[in-house]
Amino acid sequence: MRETIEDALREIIAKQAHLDPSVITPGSVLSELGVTSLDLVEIIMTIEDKYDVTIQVDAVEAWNGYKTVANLIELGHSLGLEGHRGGA
Amino acid sequence: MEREPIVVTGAGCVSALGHSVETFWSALQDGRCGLGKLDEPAPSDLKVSIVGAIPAPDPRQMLDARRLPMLDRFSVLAIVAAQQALAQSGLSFENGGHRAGCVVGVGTAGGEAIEELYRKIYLEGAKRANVFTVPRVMPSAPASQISMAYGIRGPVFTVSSACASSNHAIATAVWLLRSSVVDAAIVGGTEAPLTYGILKAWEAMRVMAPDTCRPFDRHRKGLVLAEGAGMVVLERADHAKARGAEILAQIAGVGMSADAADLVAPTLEGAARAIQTCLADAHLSVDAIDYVNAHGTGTAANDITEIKVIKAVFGDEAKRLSISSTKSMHGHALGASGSLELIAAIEAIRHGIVPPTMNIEELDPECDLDVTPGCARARPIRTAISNAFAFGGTNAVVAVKRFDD
Repeated sequence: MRETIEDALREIIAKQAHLDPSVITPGSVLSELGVTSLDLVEIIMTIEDKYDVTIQVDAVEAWNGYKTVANLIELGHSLGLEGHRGGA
Repeated sequence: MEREPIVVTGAGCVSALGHSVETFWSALQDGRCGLGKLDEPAPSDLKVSIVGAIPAPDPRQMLDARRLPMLDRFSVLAIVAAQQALAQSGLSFENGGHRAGCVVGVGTAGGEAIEELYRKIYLEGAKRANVFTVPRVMPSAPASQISMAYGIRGPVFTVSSACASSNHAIATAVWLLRSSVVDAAIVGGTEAPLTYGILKAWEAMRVMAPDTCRPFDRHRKGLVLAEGAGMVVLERADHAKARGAEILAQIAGVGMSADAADLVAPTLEGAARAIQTCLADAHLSVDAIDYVNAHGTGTAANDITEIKVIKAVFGDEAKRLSISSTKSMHGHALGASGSLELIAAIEAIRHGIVPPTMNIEELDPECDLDVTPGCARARPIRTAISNAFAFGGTNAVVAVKRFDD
């Protein structure tokens, strides 16, 4: 079964924020998970590397635009990443 | 007009002599040397073989693991020292912090992250840098990280003047307090120079000792590089007394000067003027000083000049002084040295004990003052000065005395 974007994001965010993936839900607010503005940049860059895509957003835009895990899932869907065969 | 005294109400440090002021002072008074073999980075082609590394446990373990990715080692050390100093002072800034400041002296910044960046992009062909590279490397990182950790919302910045950075930072904080810009300041210095690239750079200067740090010894061979951080909490005495804080000592005065001459060869005039300016600022004459914590790096250029400077400034009183270089035990922690040595001077005053200069086998005849060789000496100390004479000719001296209410 292919990994969904939600599963992939849960893993990426958990790694960045030093959390257990099970505590991360689509409704989770990133700042409440302890994610900082630069953690979010790292998360976005990890998505770029994993799916070999480019996401045009700067650190402040990202921090203002993506407040929740659901926001990032929507971003993934808009880039057509669902079911995408990710890299490593 | 009478100036309100500036007092010390907290101190914290991490160094080659351990993880607290208690371990630091107990090693200093016992003459225990914290310098040792370099294990990491691998010394394969390094000529440097002895350093002042912080013993286990790694100070990183004392912080929340989630903060570590954004902290280079010099910031980790500064936060650990600040934590201790603030805890001892009993100050907290949860309800404001607008009248508090943080000034940190730093010699070199962010060595780990910059070396990792260059290795990855130049050697490994990485496409991108770690997102935390800039926040880790910026020289102001320790000061801003301390401000974020403790809610300090007044002036927060870094001061840099190589090996005198701590003393310039302390002088700056004293001014902020005297001019009532802040009511309290956390101030000190931090340095983490034990990375491969920085050690190679220091090796090129040809000032590093291959054996150990032996200040004032006829056969001394140079300095021993060390890591560490020292932080103190400073307040005006009325502020400290109003909240019932224990006062550890008083910062009596500060003095600064520059040689405006050679980069590494110190001048007698520049260093002497820093001490004289400090004594004038403290309204103290030379006969009020009992102890000099020397810059005492263990290089011939420093030690001989420093003894001449002390003789020139103190005249006949020089023979009465106790002098020592505690760098013989904690090494030369560059931007952190001044703060570690201020803490040594504060503890010396509090305990009435002059810490020794260790590793002297044969005293240099040109260093013919009482440099406290080999063993601590009990002696009441009213006032001490702590010297810092840096590469680049930037000098700063801090006078500290017993606080008499």
